[in-house]
Amino acid sequence: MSPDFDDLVGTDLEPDERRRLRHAHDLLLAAGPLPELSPSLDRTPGIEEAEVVPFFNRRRHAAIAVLAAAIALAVFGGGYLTGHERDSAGFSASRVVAMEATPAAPRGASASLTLGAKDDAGNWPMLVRVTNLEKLPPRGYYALWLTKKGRPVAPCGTFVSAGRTTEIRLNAPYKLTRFDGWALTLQKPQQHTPGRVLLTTV
Amino acid sequence: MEATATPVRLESPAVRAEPRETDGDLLQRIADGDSDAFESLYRRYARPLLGLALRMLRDRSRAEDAVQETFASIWRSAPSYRPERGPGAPWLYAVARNAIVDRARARGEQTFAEPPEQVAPGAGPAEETEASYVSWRVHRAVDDLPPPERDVLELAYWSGLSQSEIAQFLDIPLGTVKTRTRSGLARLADLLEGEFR
Repeated sequence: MSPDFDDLVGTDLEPDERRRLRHAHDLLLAAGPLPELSPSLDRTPGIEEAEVVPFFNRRRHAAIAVLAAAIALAVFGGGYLTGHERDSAGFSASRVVAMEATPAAPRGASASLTLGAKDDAGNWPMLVRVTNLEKLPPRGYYALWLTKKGRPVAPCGTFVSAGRTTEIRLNAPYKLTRFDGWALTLQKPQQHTPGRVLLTTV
Repeated sequence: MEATATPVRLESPAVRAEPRETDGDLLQRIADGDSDAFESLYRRYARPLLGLALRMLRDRSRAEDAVQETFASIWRSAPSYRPERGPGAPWLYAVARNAIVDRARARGEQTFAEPPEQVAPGAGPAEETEASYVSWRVHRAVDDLPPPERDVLELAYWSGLSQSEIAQFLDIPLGTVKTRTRSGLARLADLLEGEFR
């Protein structure tokens, strides 16, 4: 249902101002929400595909790749290897990464991410354990992202949380060396871009 | 004596919460081969462009392909952008629209820009073009709002939340939601001043 203009702004505006705000209100209604990006559109096209982007400088590309690998090694290497232990549910863990709370996180919030072995198709299974995240109002949710330069850029899945600890299985269908860490965000209803970062490995 | 409500006159905020690079700045950097600028522009425009492609092609799969190809086209065309001729958003819209139409033509597909011979019910090509540009321009303007105002407007208009639900969701007083809604609408009216009349 469309929001009612009078409910939103009240009835005490001067006529000129009311007309101006009404115009903005009508444009917002006419614009409507934007469609959600599918995972295939989540990454920027043309950065890796030099053939699609003929102006791309290959030397610069190589330098960025080396830098990304170095950052990935430094950040992702911050976890510890667990010798491919298998848990009772059959999850083969290869690495555990701790996430740290940002100032926006609820008090006592923490998370860890257990990275499984990559499958033949290139999927990295992950077991995410979150503690002390708040139960969100209806339609709010949490999302895990891979980060570039500390910014969440590639989605790895969404979840809700209730109770002290929640465990979720998610997946990263990406080349991890292209990224430098993970971030967990709070997502508002229908928000498809990264929300407020609550926990991060960076 | 009878009390009367004091009309609230909103001042047009002169200072934006966080300075951001303009579309034109990003296009100029892209023209120099800056992939970071390209990524920033993609983050800013991927969803508006998908919305435009969906309106024009009316098919999700074709629209997604068109987005990928259109950004490649933007990367290639960026050197032709001239800031002295106008801001980046209309230039981007024109490049995007042309890329989608050209692509559809090359594949023998129809877009709303190429009307069928028989008139179908609903909006015609001119109205569709106008609606597409309104959506494009309004979303771009909302993106320029300070995050606190942008959040309440997006939740109110595009997430279907009532003001009390927004207050609960953002954990702020209802009065703050109302204030931010008014100031957000006022700022949006400033940003779109003179357009779409």
